[in-house]
Amino acid sequence: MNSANWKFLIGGAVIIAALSWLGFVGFQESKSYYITVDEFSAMKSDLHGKTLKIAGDVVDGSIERSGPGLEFVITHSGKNLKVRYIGRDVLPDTFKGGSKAVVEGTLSEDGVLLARHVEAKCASKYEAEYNKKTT
Amino acid sequence: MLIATCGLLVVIAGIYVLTPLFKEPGGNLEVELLAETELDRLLARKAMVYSNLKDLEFEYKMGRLSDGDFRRLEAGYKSEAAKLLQDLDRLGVAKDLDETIERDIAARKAKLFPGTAEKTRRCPSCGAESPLGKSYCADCGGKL
Amino acid sequence: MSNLGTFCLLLALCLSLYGLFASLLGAALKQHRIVRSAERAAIASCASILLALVSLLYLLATSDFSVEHVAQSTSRDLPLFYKLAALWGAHDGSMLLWVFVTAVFSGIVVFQNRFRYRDMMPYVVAVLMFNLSFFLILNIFLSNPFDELVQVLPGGTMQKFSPPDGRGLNPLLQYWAMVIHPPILYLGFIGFVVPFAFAIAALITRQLGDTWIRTTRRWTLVTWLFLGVGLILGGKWAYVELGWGGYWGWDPVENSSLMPWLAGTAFLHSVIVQERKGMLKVWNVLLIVITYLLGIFGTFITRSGIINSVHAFADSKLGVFFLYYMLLVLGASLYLIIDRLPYLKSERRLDSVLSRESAFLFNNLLLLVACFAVLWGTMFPVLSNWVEGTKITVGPPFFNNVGVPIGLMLLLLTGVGPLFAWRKTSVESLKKAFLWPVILALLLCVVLLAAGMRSFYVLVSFTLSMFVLVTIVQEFWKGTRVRVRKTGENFALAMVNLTLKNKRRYGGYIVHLAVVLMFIGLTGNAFNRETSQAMVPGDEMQIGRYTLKMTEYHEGEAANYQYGRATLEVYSGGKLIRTMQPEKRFYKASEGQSTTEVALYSKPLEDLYVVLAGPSNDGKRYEITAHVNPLVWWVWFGAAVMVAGTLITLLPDKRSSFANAQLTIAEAAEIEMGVKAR
Repeated sequence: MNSANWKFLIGGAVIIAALSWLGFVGFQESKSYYITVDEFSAMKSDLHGKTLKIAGDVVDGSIERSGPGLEFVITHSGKNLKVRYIGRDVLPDTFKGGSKAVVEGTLSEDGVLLARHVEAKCASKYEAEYNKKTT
Repeated sequence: MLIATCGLLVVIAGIYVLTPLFKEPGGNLEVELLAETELDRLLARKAMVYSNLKDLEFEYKMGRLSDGDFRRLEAGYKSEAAKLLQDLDRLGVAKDLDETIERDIAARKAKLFPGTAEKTRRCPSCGAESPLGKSYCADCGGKL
Repeated sequence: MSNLGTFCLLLALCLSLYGLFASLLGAALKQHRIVRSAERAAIASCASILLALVSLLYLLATSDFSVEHVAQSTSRDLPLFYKLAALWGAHDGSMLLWVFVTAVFSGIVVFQNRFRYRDMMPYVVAVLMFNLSFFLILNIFLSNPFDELVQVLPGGTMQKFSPPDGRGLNPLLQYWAMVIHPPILYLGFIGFVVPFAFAIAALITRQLGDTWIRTTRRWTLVTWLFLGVGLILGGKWAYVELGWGGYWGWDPVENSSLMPWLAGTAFLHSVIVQERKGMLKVWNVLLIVITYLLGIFGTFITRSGIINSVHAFADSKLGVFFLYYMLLVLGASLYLIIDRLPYLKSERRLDSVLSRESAFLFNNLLLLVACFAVLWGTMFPVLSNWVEGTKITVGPPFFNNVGVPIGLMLLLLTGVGPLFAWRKTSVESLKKAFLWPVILALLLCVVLLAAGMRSFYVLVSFTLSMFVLVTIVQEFWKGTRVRVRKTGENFALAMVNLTLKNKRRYGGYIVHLAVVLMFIGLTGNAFNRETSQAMVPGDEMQIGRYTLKMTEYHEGEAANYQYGRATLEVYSGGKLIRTMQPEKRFYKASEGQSTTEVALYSKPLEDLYVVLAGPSNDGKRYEITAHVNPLVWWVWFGAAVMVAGTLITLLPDKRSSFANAQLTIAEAAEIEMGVKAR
């Protein structure tokens, strides 16, 4: 190991350390728990104050506009969750009754999820309703 | 209809793929004959050092390098090139590239077919090796 | 027709497996004719897959809805162009396209090298056929696009079934950039298999000079170009079609195509060090293995649904196969590399950190750290699920926190790297090379500070952009001047000839220039503004220097969708500059799927981006969202420059080159005289 190698290694280590720290900060800021509605129902009590990402199907006909935002219900394995959308972005085009959605936000006092962000699954492949025969 | 089409496809593909097994000469895949040798490596490295030298000179003319840096780097490349030339000399390249390449091929062949290695003879006037079939020495032109 | 398609795929699989074993057998027995036969199998397999592709296109064009793929991704009212494009509208069809491209690449490699590298080619063919066989197996047995629909009758028997109409192509995909985006991205994912195959062949035959790198340089560059263009087109699509006002969201699918691009960029740079200096040999082999695997990993992420994404086409049974394949390839490659370490010794050591070698090393370090960070962030839900049993996702702040500094450091290296001397640069040389770039960059920085700019990253980004821009201009300027002095050509001609005479270097500078332009565009993100307002005709809204006046709202019906359209007049400084018509469409064939048609007014300085979000809460007004996105135009412009620069480096060399080192014989002789005169 000559001195240039050492200098390079030290420089590299400093860069990686700095980036790791920045990454850690960003991670703390943006991490959220990704769960489905039924998992959410099972562990509701420990989740106050944490950022959650909850996946479920939007219940057909549950979407209603109320006050400043939008409310709807998502469901998974028989459990339901009421969601109030408080974000400012336009909802994705794929968002509609029956679509799979992932809502991101925190739990309010009255048990409604205050969602700042809603993703709806891109329907690149529509789930097959026909039975499929493998040739 | 479907079966006939599929059968036809299989037959066509089969003929196309299997023909070389019967038609191509059955010779060896002469890997040793093709592999990189010391000569190839030296020539490639020489070309690269020359190219580095040319780039260096251009960069200097552009006014990007200090005189000191230029002289130091140029000296480094030149001594590297000189060493490569020496090594090539050792292989006898500087004398005649064609001859060296022929000798290189002969050496590779010797590796492949050990029996053929001795099939050269020495020129009585200058002492250079020539292949058996030749009647005149490639080096000095004297009769063998 | 569908049976014929499946048969062709099976035939192709047999041929590629034959090719795999025959080429290895030929190499082991040193029988040239067996290798020839293996090569023909590769070409025949390509032809067979072409037949399968044609039969699927025929099924799509004739709307044969008894085939599941056709029924799910097309409908009768779709224009023919989109019917054919629906080949990659669902994943089993896109897998066929994937396999086809792989086969074509393999065929081209075999043909190109039919007289060259006879010692390496058996192994190259073996690797290519191994790769092809794997994807063919997935395609045939796990996602066959020729599967037919069946109906279960009350008695429990099954019967073929052909619905009267298909479900239609997802309207979000009916946009030109989205139509060509997947095939281009595939070309980019797949192409790395060629340098990878040559690297493995070089390892096996112990020919670890730079032959494998020189031979595959074009493949690597073209692949890298396609991947980059694919990324940009994806961004363009998101920007124009999705209506959220941005082009990059750190979505897992976007990330998975970014990773091989980053690794490929690192590879493109570090091979230069090996070619010029005989260093980094182990590293280069390792890099191409990583790049190839990341390409496979990209496919794996998009196809396996392992990570939830707005794109995820859930189909997890594929995942296991990808995982085993990747582990196998990684294990075998690592074993080979370790076994051949004695052949991969570096010819030189690093002399100084202030050298071009070291700049290349830092470039590689940063690109790989970026790649790792993206991988980490993308895979975190999966990792945390394994470790803790809870899925934890990571959002854009993580990626931005890591990505922005890395990007800026890379931008700095873009400027300084090419101007450092090899081995060691003295302070004096640094002064000569960087005086003007530093002065002008600092000047810009002061001007920006005086103008009230306080954002740290924005300041750094613009300052560095200026710095790099000046270094590049200076390189062209000084180089041209030397050439003018030498040849007496006029300045413009000298500049063109200078570029053409050393395409690799000056083409590279143009790509660097493109990087600067794109950074300018990316920095514009810091100034994005957005306003939403519920409006009725006659209302006005303000955003930035624009006043938007709604004049009309209109609902209507087109061939396959209904739409609502707002008409807005855009005034700036009291003058009418444009009329914009954002739309909301509801597609009939796709279960009422809606799309947002963005109205876009794009200028180099800023984009005005207007979206009709839909009726407002009370149902009487219409929600309009307007974004002003400064400098976005430069991202697309930079991308175009990047393509141009890459194409220049790809131009063929007409002159007779001296052993691939871009020297004529006369030049070489002159240098040799100089060396000998010492």
